[in-house]
Amino acid sequence: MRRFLIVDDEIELSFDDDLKTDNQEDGVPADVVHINPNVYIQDGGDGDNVVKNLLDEVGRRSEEFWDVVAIDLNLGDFGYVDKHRNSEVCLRVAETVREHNRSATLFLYSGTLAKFIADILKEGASDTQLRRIFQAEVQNFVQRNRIASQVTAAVDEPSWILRADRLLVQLSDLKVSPEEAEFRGRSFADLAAAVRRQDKDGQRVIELISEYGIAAFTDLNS
Amino acid sequence: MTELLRKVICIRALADDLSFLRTVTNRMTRILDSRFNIFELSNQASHADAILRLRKESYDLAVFFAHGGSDYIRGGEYQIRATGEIIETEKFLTRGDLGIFEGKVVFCMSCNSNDLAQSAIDCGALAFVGFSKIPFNQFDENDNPIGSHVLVKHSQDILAEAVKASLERFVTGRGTLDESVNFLRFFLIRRAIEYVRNNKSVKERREVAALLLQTKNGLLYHGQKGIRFEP
Repeated sequence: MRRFLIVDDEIELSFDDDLKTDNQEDGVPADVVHINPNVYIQDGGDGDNVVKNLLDEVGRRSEEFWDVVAIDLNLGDFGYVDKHRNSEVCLRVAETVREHNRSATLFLYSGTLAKFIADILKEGASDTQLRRIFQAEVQNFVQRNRIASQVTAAVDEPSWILRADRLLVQLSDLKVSPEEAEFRGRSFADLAAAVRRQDKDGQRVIELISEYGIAAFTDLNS
Repeated sequence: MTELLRKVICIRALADDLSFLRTVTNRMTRILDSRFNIFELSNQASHADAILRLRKESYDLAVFFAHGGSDYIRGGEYQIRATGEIIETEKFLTRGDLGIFEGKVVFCMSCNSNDLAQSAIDCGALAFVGFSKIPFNQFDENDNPIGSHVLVKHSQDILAEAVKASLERFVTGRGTLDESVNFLRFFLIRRAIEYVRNNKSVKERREVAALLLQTKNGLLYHGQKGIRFEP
């Protein structure tokens, strides 16, 4: 099943049905999970506290498998006097996603894309903001009216690490064979989580998958 | 770097459990003929001779088949005629001797030879292929071998086949040394998987595969990349 995590301040996602129906796998509609910052804003508290609660939830959910995570650039008014701090919450969300999940494809989108990009870059040091965007490995900025089609297109062009994560999740009940000493007996679900985190284990799993894959292609008589 | 391969010096420790590698040296001899010079470490005189050859002769590649530790390559075994006692010379080369590899390429198939690699490179070796563990048996808590004949024989045969194929690629100029090391890794992976799949009647098949993968995991290339010799 395809899985999409959307962080957006709309009450109901206008593109929810498109994502579900256009991304069926074996007749199963995609799982679209919507995190709405307004839930945390309505809980009250100062801006830092509201954002912390939002980021905690984003971080927790990001540990799961996602094909695509899409984040609205305008996530609402978090109560900051300095309006720039409101507009950069989307970057903090993107960074939080990436801290917990290195495999999902990540998009930022907006109905007024040019305005928000200009807003983000004009405040503070623009090179710092750009660096944050690159480090969060944001794949693209997308117009809101094109986000559903972009997400659907991205599903068919997964990165190498997302491909590995997806396959391990699909086979999550399988276990590593006894002869592979480093990961003997561990479930593929466990490996998928490590791949997603890209911690030491996750990097090693990717290294082994690459090695085993290339070995399978190697003509030993060459 | 591509140069004509002038000569290979192979240092082979005389030890029963290393005799399975004779198939490798036989193949190298067939390919390289007089350019493949084997020196067998058996007694102290042979050790001295081998050291002298390593110091004095013009060669490009040194190949070691020996036991070893993180600080040394062990010599061979010899028997004192008068007493019949088997003597095992502990250290054929130590870290302090690695200057003899200046300008040379080294393939060192001995346990923990990776620990010697950086010192060899610091002493001027062009490249050093090292290993961590090269297991072809299992041991109990007192270090007594407990693996079955099948386990040992099959592990050794596959390991020898893999090393033979990889060294052959390198000395015939079909691959660079770093590529040949990767080829050795892939060979061991493929054979390990095939062995488990194709030998269901062998109860130790998973252990055999595990030993091969341990060797693969400890196989490392050190030094400059892209070294290739013309045959």
